[in-house]
Amino acid sequence: MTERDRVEALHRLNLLESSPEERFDRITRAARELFSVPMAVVTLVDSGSTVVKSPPELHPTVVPREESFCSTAIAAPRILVVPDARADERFAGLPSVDGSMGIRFYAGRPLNAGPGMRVGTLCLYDTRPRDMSPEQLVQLEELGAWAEAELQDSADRDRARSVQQALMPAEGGNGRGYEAAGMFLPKSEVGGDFYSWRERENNLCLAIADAMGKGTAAALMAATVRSAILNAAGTDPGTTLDSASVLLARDLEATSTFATAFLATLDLETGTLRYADAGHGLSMIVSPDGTYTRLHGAGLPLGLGEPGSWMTHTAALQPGDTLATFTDGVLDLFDGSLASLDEIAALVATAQPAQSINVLRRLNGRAAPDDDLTALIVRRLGADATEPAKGNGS
Amino acid sequence: MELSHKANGSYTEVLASGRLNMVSAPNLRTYVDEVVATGASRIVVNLAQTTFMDSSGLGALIGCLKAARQAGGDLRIAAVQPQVKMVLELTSMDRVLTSYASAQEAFGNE
Repeated sequence: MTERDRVEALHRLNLLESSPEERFDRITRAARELFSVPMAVVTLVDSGSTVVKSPPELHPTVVPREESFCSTAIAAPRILVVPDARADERFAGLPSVDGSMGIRFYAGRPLNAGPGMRVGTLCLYDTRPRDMSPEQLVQLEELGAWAEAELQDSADRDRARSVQQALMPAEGGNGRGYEAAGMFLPKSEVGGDFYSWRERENNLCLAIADAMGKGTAAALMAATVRSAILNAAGTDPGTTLDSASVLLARDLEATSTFATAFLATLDLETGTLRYADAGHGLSMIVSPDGTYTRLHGAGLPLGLGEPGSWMTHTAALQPGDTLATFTDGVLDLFDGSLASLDEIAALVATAQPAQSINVLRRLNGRAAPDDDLTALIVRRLGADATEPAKGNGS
Repeated sequence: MELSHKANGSYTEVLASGRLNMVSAPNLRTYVDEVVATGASRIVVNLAQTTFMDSSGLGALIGCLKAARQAGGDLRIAAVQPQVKMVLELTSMDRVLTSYASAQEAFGNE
């Protein structure tokens, strides 16, 4: 393992830029109490600097790496104890020892992001010399193992997020005669929604779904539902829901969950949209002038409706029209009620799908809603141009 | 979310106050299961003071409905507030979870 591997492992945790986190703060609080020290800190040692992750009152202190005890502490896999820094030539010259802070005592337990990847420490500071008893060393080891577990949990959650995002279609779906864009913004690292679009002969097959709940459990179910819907996908959305519900019956029953879904097949030549709704309820066709028609199929969610109960309905997507379908979290970016549909329609009516998605992302950043947010927007381009048809003499 | 219940002759009313979300949903589920276990299978969940419901909350209501039906009874909901009404309509679950203006009306003619 090289220094480069170590730094990469640290960066993959995505902790350097993040806000204070209670899961680390409770460990530093406990350590400060337990050892009766003025400062207990979780640090992250980057290539050139040492960054304080916790406690929040010190976050985010950044010091040059060579001026930190922690840089030395991570050189070896054991706890580093410095009983009196002034009497230790390795540390006597550090600004924190020599200067107004007057640090005399340091004990640091290296934190591993993975085997041999020491990326930070849980460490104790005092302004008077002291030593660690064998019992205290065991206690610091235990608290360090706890901090390390939290650190590795970050890595695990981050991998989960990447995997789930990779299940969504790539950005910028521009095909023959249409533009598509989508987003999936889970409240935490992962969430219970998915969307997809696929070209199939002359059709564009669209899906959006929302598994009950939030977080990891919902994400597991969303992946299960996605796989069933994509496996069942024929060209008839109602029949696809029937087949998917059969595939999912056992799993949804066993987990006492359900999932809402909206499936549609757009004929790219005629603009005929065939769709079926399983308790999703939030889909609409928006004209360039901002007027819209909701597509409400009145079917029950998957896991609650019976196979055979989902009807395929038909609507027309005229050149320049936009199909927007989204989960209810998107309503919370506006006033949370169905009155939000007017604003969403006005937003998507004339903008390109990718632009509309960017606006929704920005609103999400500001509102920080308490739900997963997923949206899929597809515009049928004007018949004779790559630009959306608008203002056709009306 | 605060939960309480009272027997009203032919049915038992469960009063649920607060937000019915991922955190409180399992509590409602357990609470109704316990009420059903005492022999009451005709349940009205009074939602007059339930200001918010998410999909987990809806899932809990459905679980409670199944439990009541398995015990030979039924579960109905009453006094639904606007946000809860919206969730029921969007999911088409208003067809399954019958909603009444008040707890008294829910089993009124039975």
